[in-house]
Amino acid sequence: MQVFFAIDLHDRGGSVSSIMNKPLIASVFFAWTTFAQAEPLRVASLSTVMADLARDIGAERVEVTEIVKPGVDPHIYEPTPGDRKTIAKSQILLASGLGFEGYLDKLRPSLEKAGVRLVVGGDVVKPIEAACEGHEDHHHAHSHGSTDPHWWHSISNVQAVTAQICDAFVAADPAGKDAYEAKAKKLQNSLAALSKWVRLQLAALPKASRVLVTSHDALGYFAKDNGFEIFAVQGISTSDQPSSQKVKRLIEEIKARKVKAIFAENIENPKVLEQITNETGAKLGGVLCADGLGSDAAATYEGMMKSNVSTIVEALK
Amino acid sequence: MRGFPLLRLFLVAAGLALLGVPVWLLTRPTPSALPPASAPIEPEKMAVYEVLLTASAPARLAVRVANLPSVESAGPATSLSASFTMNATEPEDLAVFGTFDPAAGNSALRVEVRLARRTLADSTFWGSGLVEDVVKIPKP
Repeated sequence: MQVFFAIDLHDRGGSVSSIMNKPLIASVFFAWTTFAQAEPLRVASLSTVMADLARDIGAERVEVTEIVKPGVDPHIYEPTPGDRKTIAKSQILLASGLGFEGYLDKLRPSLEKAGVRLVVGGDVVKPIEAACEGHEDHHHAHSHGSTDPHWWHSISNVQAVTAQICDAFVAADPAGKDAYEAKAKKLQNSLAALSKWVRLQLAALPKASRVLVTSHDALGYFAKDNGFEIFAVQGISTSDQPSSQKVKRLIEEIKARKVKAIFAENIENPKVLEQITNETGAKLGGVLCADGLGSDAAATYEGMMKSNVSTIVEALK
Repeated sequence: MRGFPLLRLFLVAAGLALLGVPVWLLTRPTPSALPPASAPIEPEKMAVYEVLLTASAPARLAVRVANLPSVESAGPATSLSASFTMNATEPEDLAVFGTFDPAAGNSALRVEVRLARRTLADSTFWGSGLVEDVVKIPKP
């Protein structure tokens, strides 16, 4: 609309020929603006959570391609040649970082070559140490640092990453600044409301009941924010293998602390957990989304958090 | 070796003992260092917390501790006081609710928590309609 207004001002009082050209110029500008809007920012994501944030912030101005899809175990995922092509065609690549994508360092040279801007969520969050309890008992097939990479289980981290993605979109597409910032502000408000909802739901759980027994150690940020203790069968990665001695110790701990329920994960085989429930009498409390978004109600970040919190409260109250 | 039965006995015993070590490591009882989640709290660790809710306009007020039934005002009121006996070493969070008339516009709900006349928490929440939040009581 600003374009047409400018033409009108310049043409006011102009010659006949310029007036005759007015529709032509307007058509050219209209075609140009339409073309510019029809070419969305191409964003690829290795994180289901960041893909959801990107869709919310970018709306119709971005085209988000999920390289790692919900339900895929990102701990053992490796990009295929097809994925690498998709990434090379994108303008921005979103990644969780903190060692979550063990292949990221290998990707970096090709990203630089293709001019793809890498946005790593882990760069702007407050990392916590990965739990090292029992590391002498098992091996790591997966490479990660000493920090816990599952930062999205803290809503304040997601708020920081929301600002980061918004900044990246503005840098890549300055014309969309107002639209991106408006959407990001709306998302920040939603996240603040979600944070309050989580607090209110968890307030119904006595502090002595705030013990989470899970498949692998992915909920450290959630535990830190909300006063939970974590006991995980596996380590920080799904590829960490627990020893029989560790499972035995865990069973004793669950019995001693009279833990009511233990939780499976959406991408895990809960066989070991079922064995533990049989030996401890604790019930299987439900399925949590640990390594990213799930399906149906848990297909968005807000939905995933609500699903996880509801499952935990229902099982432990 | 054949001429030293005592040495043979010693070697066999030593071998059996070495084999027994991993078995013992796997099967020994390991006492839990942490108290059970539902262990009874010693009476001397319990304390009475006084909670006072103050509303900027008449509202239905309620306060809830963990999974216990909430204490509610009988009807619209501008204040509600309640007391809860909780573990003093790790007090529970309080969920507070004020349901205001939406026509009242922006309204405030103040929550004060006292222990032995000492104020432990003093928070004010703003909103319209339903104003709700969680108050964390600091550990002593």
